[in-house]
Amino acid sequence: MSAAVPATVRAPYRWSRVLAPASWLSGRLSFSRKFLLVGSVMLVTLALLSWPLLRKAGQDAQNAELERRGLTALAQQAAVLDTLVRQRGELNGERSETPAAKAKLQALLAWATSPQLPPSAPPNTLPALGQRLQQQWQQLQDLGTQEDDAQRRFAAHTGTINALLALMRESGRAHRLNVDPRLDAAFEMLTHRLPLVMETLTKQQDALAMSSDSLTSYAVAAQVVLSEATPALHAGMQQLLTPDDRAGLQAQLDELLSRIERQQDAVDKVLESPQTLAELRPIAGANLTQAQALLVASTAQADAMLQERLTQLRRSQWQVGALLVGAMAAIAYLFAGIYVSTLRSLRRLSQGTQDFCAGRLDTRIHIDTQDELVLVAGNFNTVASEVGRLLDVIREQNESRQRELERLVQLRTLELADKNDQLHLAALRVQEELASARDMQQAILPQHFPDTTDFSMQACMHPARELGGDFYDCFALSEGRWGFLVADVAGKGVGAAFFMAVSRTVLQDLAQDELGPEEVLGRANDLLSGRNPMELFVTACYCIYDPRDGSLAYASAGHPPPLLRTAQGEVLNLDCANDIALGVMPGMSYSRRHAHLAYGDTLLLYTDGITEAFDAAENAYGEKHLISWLQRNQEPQAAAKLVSLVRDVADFVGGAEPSDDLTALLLCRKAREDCVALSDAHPDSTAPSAYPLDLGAMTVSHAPQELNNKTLLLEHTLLSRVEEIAHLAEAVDQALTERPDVAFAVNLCLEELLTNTIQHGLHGAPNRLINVRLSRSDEWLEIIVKDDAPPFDPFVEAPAPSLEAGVEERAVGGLGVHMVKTMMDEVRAFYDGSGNLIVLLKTLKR
Amino acid sequence: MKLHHQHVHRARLALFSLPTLLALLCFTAVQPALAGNELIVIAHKDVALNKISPERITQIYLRQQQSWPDGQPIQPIDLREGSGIRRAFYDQITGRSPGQLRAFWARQSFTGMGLPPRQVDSDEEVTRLVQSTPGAIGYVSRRPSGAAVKVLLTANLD
Repeated sequence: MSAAVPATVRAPYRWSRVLAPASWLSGRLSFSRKFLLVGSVMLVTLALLSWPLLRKAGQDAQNAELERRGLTALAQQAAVLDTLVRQRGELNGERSETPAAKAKLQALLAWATSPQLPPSAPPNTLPALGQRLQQQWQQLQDLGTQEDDAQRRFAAHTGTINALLALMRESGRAHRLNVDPRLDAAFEMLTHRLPLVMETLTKQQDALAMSSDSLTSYAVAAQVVLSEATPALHAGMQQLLTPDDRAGLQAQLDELLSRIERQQDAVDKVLESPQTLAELRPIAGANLTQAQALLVASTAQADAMLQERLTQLRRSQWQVGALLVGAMAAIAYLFAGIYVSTLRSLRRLSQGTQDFCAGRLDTRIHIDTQDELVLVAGNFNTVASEVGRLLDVIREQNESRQRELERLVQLRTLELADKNDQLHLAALRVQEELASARDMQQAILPQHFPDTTDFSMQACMHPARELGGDFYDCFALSEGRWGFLVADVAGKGVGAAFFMAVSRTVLQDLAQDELGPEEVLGRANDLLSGRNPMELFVTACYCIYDPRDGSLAYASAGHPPPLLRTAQGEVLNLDCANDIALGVMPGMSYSRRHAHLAYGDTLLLYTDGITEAFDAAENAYGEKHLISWLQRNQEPQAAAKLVSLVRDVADFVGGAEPSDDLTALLLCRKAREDCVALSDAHPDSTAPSAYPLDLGAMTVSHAPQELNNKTLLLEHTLLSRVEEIAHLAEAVDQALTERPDVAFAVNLCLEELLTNTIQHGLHGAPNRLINVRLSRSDEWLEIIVKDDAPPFDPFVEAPAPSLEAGVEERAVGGLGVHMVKTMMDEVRAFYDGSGNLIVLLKTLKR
Repeated sequence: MKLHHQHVHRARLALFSLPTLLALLCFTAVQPALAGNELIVIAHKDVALNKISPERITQIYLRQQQSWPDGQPIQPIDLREGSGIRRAFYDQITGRSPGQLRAFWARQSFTGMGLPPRQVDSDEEVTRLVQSTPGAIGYVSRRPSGAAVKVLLTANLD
């Protein structure tokens, strides 16, 4: 399977592997460094490529320079040679060594000893050859001082000339003339052939001049040297000739060669007739001159050619250099241009992307080049347009959704406001209901307490919420006894309030049946347990007090035991059985206990709302605190004592939220002297006057509940006649024109109560005055009826109504009083010493 | 070309030298007519050698050896052509005829390869020059009377 990988897939993979190192390098370099790297590589390559060219041209130029120096040296050497060969031909008599010639030779020798050649010149033996020339020259000079023959002189001259010729050849080699690529034959001619010809031409003549047979033959044989030189001379001349041959070199060479021919003819002639030697001498001399001239002309021509070559080389050097610099400049210029252009494009791309990211969504990138970056810019612009379009769509959708949401919110807000208003109204209603219920709850609890010569009693209940679960009660029993109780329904709120109302009614009803306290609690427990759907329960302590002897019978159903403070200030917890609270389960029995209140003793009944009242630091008021207060407080009157207790608890609690209902009942048996004083104040009273029922009503000492902002509506006094009631009714109707319903109820109640008072209280006495006063506050209507009858409480003394019986059969007053209690919110009767005071309260709330 | 001539000459010299010397010895032995005539090779008194072989004399007079063992240049003194003792000297010592010598020196002179020995006219002049020239060597027919020269070789011409 793997062998079937197509070649088109393998090839890029191979290329990517080959290019991996370059890619790696490229990935680590910024754009500027990439360009710098490639440019540097190219420039270095260019320099490396052109370096050999420049070097070759430089070497060639150097060589040409060297060769020119060689030609200069050659000219010097040729001059010395000319001198030497001419000297050899001179006769002994005409020998003349010019100082100039000698100086030339000395200069040549000095040069040869240390030729001062550049390092590029090949190694040479010039110093050795110079030394040889020096020696030969010295030998020749030595000969001059000796008497010697011509042949020795000739030989010495020839040796010197040979040394010079060798020096000339070596000089040519040392100046690289022999290896010149284009002028090697020319230089061979100049450094070797022509000097040899010059030497041979004169030597031929000089040898013949010595008239020696042996030398003569050599002079003839020298023709071989001359004829052998001819091809080399032609070859050398070929290299020197220019198309125009201004110097006429070819002609000079031809002339020389023809002259050599003529000299040979002359030599042949001398062989035949030695006297013609004289003819040879000028020929040879002229030929030497010709050869010398050719040498000089050829040297000049060669030097000119070298000069030209040198010029060309320098020009080519300049050209290569200029080309190199130009190429480098062009590459650098191109790269800089490409770099700047690419960078500008990249910068535009970068700037555009940044602008786009910064939120300018209408950003578009315009690149005016023809490279791939245009594609990138195009793609960016496409993406930007698409994003812009999508954002517009999203924005549109968002706006639409926003509008929809706003509409919904507005709708819901309106609905909520509506509901809120409804809720508010409902809450207000509930609040009103609760306030009403609270008032009702407060109203059903007795607001007026007995304060007789023998004792005073006071109670209060402060609910923790709108509705409380605590209650108290006090009521008169037969034989002057008083029943009173304090109870605490478990829980708070509406349920507890209802249970409280039920419990109170049950307890009150049972108590009216003259049962013992344990029986009242037992029966109440059975009744409450039987109808207790919310499974509430109530603790209670019920006491029956007999003022005649201060005896106290009591029973407790799970309630805190009563506290007894003796006149001496001692506080006792009255003994209580551990009986269970009411309503828990039926059939429970409760225990009766007895106690005795001495003169000056105080009895306190309370609920745990007092002992468990907490301050801000969660500290409970506690039984200890309560006992302490009770010990301290020496207030004789129950009302003042209770006010003190409530203030003490309130002071302890401070600003803390009340945790439970606060309920207490105080009974203070007055001290003996107080009782006596009071008895003295009522001389009419008989012994049984201590019994409230016997007195007709209890003696009331304190004012009824005070209304705030009371306004007097009606003050009416009538005679104690039934027919007078109609006038009162008219006055009441006038006073309550705004509330005819209330006026109706008030008239009904007044008629009943006044009839009752006239018939039962005054026993029909016709001219007694009865005062009726109507006052109102914001909420309440107060009706006060004052008579001057003996003490009479219609609400206590009136017999219980028998609803089952017919109206005619019922006892007079009982039903009426019941009606009054029903129609009025609060009814109370007092005897203030001068008469009875009936106070009715009727709420004005609808 | 010059080298070629030189080689040829040297070969020839080597071929001729040994029979020539043998013949010279025989000649001296069988020709009593020349008895009493001596050939004496003398040198300057400072020359480092006390005796010399005929071969070395030949090399010196053909200028093939140009310095003494101590490096001093050898100054050979020759007699002019035509002198009897010169002919005898070259005959006996070098084995060369006057014609051969002429040809040899003509070639050497023409090619500049060598300078012929200095020629003087008489024994006396030879002796005088040998005495006065450091490194000089010469040949005379009679032993010089003064002791200012060194006798390197004595050959009997008889």
